[in-house]
Amino acid sequence: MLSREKLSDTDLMKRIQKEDMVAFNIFVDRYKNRLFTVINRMLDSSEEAEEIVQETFLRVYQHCSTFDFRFAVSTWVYTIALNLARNELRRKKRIKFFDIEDFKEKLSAPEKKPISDPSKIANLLGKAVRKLPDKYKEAFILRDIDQLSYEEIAQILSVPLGTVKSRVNRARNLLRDQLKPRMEEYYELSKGSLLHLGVL
Amino acid sequence: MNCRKARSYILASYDEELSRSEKKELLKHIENCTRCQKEKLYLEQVRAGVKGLPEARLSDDFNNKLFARIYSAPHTEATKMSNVPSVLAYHFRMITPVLAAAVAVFVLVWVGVGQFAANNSDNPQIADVEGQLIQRVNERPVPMIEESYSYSANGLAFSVAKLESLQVAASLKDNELLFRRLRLEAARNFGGFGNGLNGMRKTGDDEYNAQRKYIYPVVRPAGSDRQPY
Repeated sequence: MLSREKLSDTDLMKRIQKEDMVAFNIFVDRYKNRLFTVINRMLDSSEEAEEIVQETFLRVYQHCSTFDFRFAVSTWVYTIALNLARNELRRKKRIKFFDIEDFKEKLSAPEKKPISDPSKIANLLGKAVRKLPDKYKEAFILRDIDQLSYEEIAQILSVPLGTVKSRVNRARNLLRDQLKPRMEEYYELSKGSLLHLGVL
Repeated sequence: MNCRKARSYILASYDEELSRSEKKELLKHIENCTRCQKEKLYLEQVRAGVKGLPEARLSDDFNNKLFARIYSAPHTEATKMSNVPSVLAYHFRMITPVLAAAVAVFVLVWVGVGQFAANNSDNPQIADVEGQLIQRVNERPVPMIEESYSYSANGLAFSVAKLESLQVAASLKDNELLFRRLRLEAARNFGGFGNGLNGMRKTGDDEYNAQRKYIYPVVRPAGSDRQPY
């Protein structure tokens, strides 16, 4: 009986190469939710994200014999998933979709509606993340949502470490700028309290 | 600390990469700077908002669907794991040309030694040196092909000569001038083409020569009264 926690990714991959389906099942359970969260944020569609994650694991199974053990398994899996997600994004861009909810908001609400309830920030932020440029969005999601290290992200995206940091910071600043007009009121409420700033 | 440095500290604080002294330095700055205070607050809100993003869930039968796809996927070269070449197969494929060359060389040497032994089978020294190999070669049935080969070679040479003659004849058939020259050469050297060319068309010279009457001089002995005709 395989122990799910004890086996490393490399051990699992070696077993998968020998057509060990139990090991493959453990591998799927280990990565499916993480991949789904990332891809779902990128595509903003849970059905498409699930399809991409399925395709990712299918490709891992089909091409496991080509895996190079000098690299991390997680990096390889994330790279496959992100490549598939990028393809899907490109395909969607060719067929331009318009979100009807955006039009509803624009018609019914004023542009700079202040946020009095901080819990609404999450919803607003979700939309803002969706509108980020792809290269900033994937770096931001991998760092701030999936909590990967900068080094891991650099390997997954095949870009230098400094580029990853600048992309993540650029994404954070863009999100902050989008939220800024609607958070003025919240700032006034919290004015004077440094505890809210997280410094102390 | 200026605002530029404070902004970089604010970004670093997002990843919790600030030391205690840097935190104090940043705090000291933002107490007196409203703009940086706002920057800090908004970034904190971004971080809090990301953590509070609603999470979608995978369907419960995700694994079942995946395994159904895997088992129903077409077993191509890429997908069929049993078709993945092993290391042994890979090396065997790489050395196949070398093996083939080695086998070819061995066969050539073996045949060559066999021929040599056959030609020198009466030499006891060679038989001693080659030992069992030569004995084995000598025990082979005598190939009957050699006789037929020489016959075939002769026949082939004959056929080639015949073919060339036919080609010359065909090329001369419509070339009157060449044909006449050739015929004259043949007549001068070995008495003409012989019966083989009897069926060919006669030229004007042939007809003229056929009608021509020759008067041969008659040598009479001195004092003879006999008329020549």
